[in-house]
Amino acid sequence: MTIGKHLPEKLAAITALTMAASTSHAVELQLFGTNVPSVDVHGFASQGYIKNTGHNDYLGGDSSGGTIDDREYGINASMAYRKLRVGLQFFGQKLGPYGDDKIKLDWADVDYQATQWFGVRAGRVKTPHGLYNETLDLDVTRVFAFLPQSVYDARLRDFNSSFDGGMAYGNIELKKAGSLDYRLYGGHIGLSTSSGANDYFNNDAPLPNQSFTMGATFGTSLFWNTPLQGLRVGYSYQGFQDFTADRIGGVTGTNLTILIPRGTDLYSRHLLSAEYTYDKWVFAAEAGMDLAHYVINLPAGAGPPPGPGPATGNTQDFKSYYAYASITRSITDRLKLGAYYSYSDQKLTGIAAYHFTQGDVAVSARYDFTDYLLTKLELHYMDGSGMLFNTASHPQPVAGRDNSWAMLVAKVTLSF
Amino acid sequence: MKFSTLAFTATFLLTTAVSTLRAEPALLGNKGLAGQTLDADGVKAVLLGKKATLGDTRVVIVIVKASEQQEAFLKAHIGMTTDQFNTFWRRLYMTGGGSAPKNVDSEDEAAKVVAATPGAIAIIDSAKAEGLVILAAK
Repeated sequence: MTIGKHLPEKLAAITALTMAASTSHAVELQLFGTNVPSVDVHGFASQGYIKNTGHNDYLGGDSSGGTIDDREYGINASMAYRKLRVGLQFFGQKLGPYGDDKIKLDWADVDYQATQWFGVRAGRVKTPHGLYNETLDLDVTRVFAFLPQSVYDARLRDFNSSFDGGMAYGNIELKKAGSLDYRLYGGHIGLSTSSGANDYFNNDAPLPNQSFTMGATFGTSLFWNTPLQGLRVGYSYQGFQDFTADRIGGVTGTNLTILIPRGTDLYSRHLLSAEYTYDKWVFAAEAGMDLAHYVINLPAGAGPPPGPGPATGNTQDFKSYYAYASITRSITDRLKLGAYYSYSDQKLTGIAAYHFTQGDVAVSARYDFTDYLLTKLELHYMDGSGMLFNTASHPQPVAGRDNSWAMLVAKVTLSF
Repeated sequence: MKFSTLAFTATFLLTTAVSTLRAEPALLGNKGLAGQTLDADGVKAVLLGKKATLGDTRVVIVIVKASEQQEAFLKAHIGMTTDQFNTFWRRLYMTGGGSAPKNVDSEDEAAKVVAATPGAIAIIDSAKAEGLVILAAK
């Protein structure tokens, strides 16, 4: 569900609502009489600025020249009665060429928690994966302007954020062994050829996609809340079934275009997580891998795919390894500092093979002026350029990239 | 010992005892939650949203903006500061995972909100428990 409207109107509405609620932490609406629970309304709006050295364009599109195409905003409403809760959130975003400030239904679900150890949620549900996937867009919940991109790539938000389906969840007490949080889910993710995910999965060759589809998604997230106060460790798995993209290629020696289907029966991602909260410190680390075996139906007469790798064969094996470690600390009631090292290693073997790596050292400062207004300043040093996209609309061939570069991010967020 | 010294000592001891009694944080709840008591695991489950209801009543968490007693209770039971606790809940209610707590400026205000709201709970001085239910002591 997409509603196209002008950005100024949307931002003005959210800002007005934020300021109206500035003396409280939410807007409570008694819409159905005093005998029915109120509807709680919350929202946020973030505006950022990205500038990097050199001529790489990363995250925010034209970031080499400096860009304000880094913003997200949302408004949600929910109501709860006994074991039942319903809610929804509308969300809009502009991150470089992605999002385009189109307001979409981000999540909308019905939740019934029968007991502590069993509940169900259905609708458009936020995808549980790792420590922070569900809060990708919530700048107000973290110190960093950008989460470690090796694990939480902001360009893949449309793909990672939520799914349409159902989830079972619960917390199982393990007595002296702590407790276990589990989530099991399945459903479908709507894909778009104008999304960051489209470009990410097309990074072997800058050919435009005509279609980008998936059969189903399913997964689990398991977190052990250990007996050591503040320490939790977890494992998340997500699978995408019948994941395909039909690309438009050319016939050698002619001006003809052909459709080149590329797909995998199963794309898998695995993630190990650990988080330790001690007093005003939070330590986090995650490591994971993505695996896929692609089959490309390259018709006879089709030219070799553009890109650095071999031009023959019709299969590809994709392996991506990634990890980060982060530290944050509250210095005062208003000031928080943080740092992380994030690393990504992507390897594709077979036709159009490549091997891309990128390391990212980031330091961040967050200052809360009030309970509803904060600002962030973040500096990155990048070693490598493996996470840049090389697309038909924005070519960034490997040979021409900067491999030692810095990026500055500044951000302001309103929330209520 | 002189009477004045004895009187002073007795007054000092009595004042200290009363002050200590007044400084005990507890998890207090709306009177509709009478009959509910929580052990350490139960307190953790309720404060972290793992247990959304007590009996058939939905829990409404009331958070005081700044309270040393609340801070101490949270650290002891769930290892979080008040700021971390607020962030934890923000992550939940902004992603469809829970209902937003009510934020108030003082313990007195928290006591009033808990008294007036079915299912409401707050960490406040146990001396303010009049009309409320003690779900868990410090």
